[in-house]
Amino acid sequence: MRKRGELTKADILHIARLANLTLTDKEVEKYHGQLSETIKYVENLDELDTTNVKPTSHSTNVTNVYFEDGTENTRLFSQEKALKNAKNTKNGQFVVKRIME
Amino acid sequence: MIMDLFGKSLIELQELIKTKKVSSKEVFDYFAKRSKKYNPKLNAFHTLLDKPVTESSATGGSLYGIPFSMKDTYNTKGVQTTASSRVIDDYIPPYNATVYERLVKAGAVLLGKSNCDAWGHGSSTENSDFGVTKNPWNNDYVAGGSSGGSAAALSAYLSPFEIGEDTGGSIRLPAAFCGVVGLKVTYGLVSRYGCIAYASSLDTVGPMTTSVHDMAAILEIIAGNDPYDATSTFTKSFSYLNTLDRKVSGLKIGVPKEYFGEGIDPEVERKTKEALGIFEKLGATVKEISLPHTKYAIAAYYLLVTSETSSNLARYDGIRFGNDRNFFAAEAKRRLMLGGYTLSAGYYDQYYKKAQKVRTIFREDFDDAFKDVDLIIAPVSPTPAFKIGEKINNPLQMYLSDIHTVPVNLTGIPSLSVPIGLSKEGLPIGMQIMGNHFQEDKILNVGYQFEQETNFFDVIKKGREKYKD
Repeated sequence: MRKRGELTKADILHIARLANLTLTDKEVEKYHGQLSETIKYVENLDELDTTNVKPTSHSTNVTNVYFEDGTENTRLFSQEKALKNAKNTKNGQFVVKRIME
Repeated sequence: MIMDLFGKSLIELQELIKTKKVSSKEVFDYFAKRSKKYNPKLNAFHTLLDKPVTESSATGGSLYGIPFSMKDTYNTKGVQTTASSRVIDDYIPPYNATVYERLVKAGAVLLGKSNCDAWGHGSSTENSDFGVTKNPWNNDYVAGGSSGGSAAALSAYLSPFEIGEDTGGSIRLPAAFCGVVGLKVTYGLVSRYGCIAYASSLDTVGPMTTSVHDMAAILEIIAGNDPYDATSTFTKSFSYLNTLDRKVSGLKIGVPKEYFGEGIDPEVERKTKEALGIFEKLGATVKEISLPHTKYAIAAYYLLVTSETSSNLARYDGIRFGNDRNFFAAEAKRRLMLGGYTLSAGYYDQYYKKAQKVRTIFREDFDDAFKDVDLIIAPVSPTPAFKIGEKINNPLQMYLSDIHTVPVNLTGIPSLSVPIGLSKEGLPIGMQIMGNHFQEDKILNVGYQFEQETNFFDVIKKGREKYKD
């Protein structure tokens, strides 16, 4: 693995792809500088020894809640309502890009 | 001829409506007219409604006929909701956020939707895709962010109360910059159902008002269990109004020395110390404490929020609603990429998990402090509002604006931001009163006593003067 904190331009293109974003060359240049600076800054956490510290997924120790199947139906959308904000629909369904050739 | 409603508090408006001195329609029209008049100058709202979209039939509801606006991150059925982003600039929600539903049930009437940084990403509203909100005190300055439109609207008396959202300071910072009252609640106190998610382990919903009494009144309505939010408290309801009158004598207040270090504006320091003097006069004791890891807060915070926002914003694909991902603007792109990086294989443990561990350390810091003191008081921000454009080209400098607000989010505790005076340039300065988890009653009580004693040095009154006509 490469040394941390050294973002290359290839990294920028890779993480843009992970985020499903398309960047112009100018953006690659700009974000390379800005993100490198931020990554460098956050590495001040390296000063802290956290070997024996347990991570928190949030701050107030709440536990999860569940509904029994079928007990909560008041929030169901009709097909029409669910499609209302979509730009591209066909036969009452969302149209998506082909993902397999 | 309708009476002059200018500057009326929530409680006064409630009384006027109840005794039929004014009608709910007159009150709505009054604020709608003011908002339309001043919005071109301040850009506080995206959406302003000409007439109510809900039937205010709840004549017995405690907020009957009271208009309000919300940060544009809440789903409001039939009313455009954009999160200030072009990605969803044509989205019409088919359902209601719980907080909106509760306010409507209490009789409140939606006036509009307020400007903010897109997706809550920012400290100045300069990251809104629909233009910056101007600070009502001086239009060359930012209103703070991300809930900047809400703070500006309150300061200029365009809306009687607002609902904001605080993930890293997004209620408290604009409240301080515009000289109004803002509450970041305990994580889980108010339902986030229907709030457009930014960083789920930190997001909180809270009111913004022009008095602590109003804050307590609104919070009673929106706090409490909601089965639709898995992080919601199990307690059904809370009361805050009946404890506002408690005396503060005997209270132990801690002041963290780390919040007065390098970079603090001398006027912010002086005003905060003067405010602490008021509490001593009221019989509280003030002592210096240490929150030793404060300098790591921003790093831990940005690792958590970018990771979580990259996951939350993955849903915006332009298929079911909104536009495609090319519509994301610069700050969202930065955060999505940074989050993708810190969550990616080989880096997760070093970045996201490390930040989660540092969050544990922050909790321990505050737990230790609360063994010794009842409350913690500190400045909301090291400086008053900064100029529009001053930090926008340096994202890291912008992130550092939140240095005094993010520790509260990391630990999940509540914090009330109140005005404590003006700088030499005539810009408001705010302090925050922090309590332990679910001690909103205590911090509201202390804030209220401070308000009774000082009237917030007339900051709220002065802020409105320019917008009287």
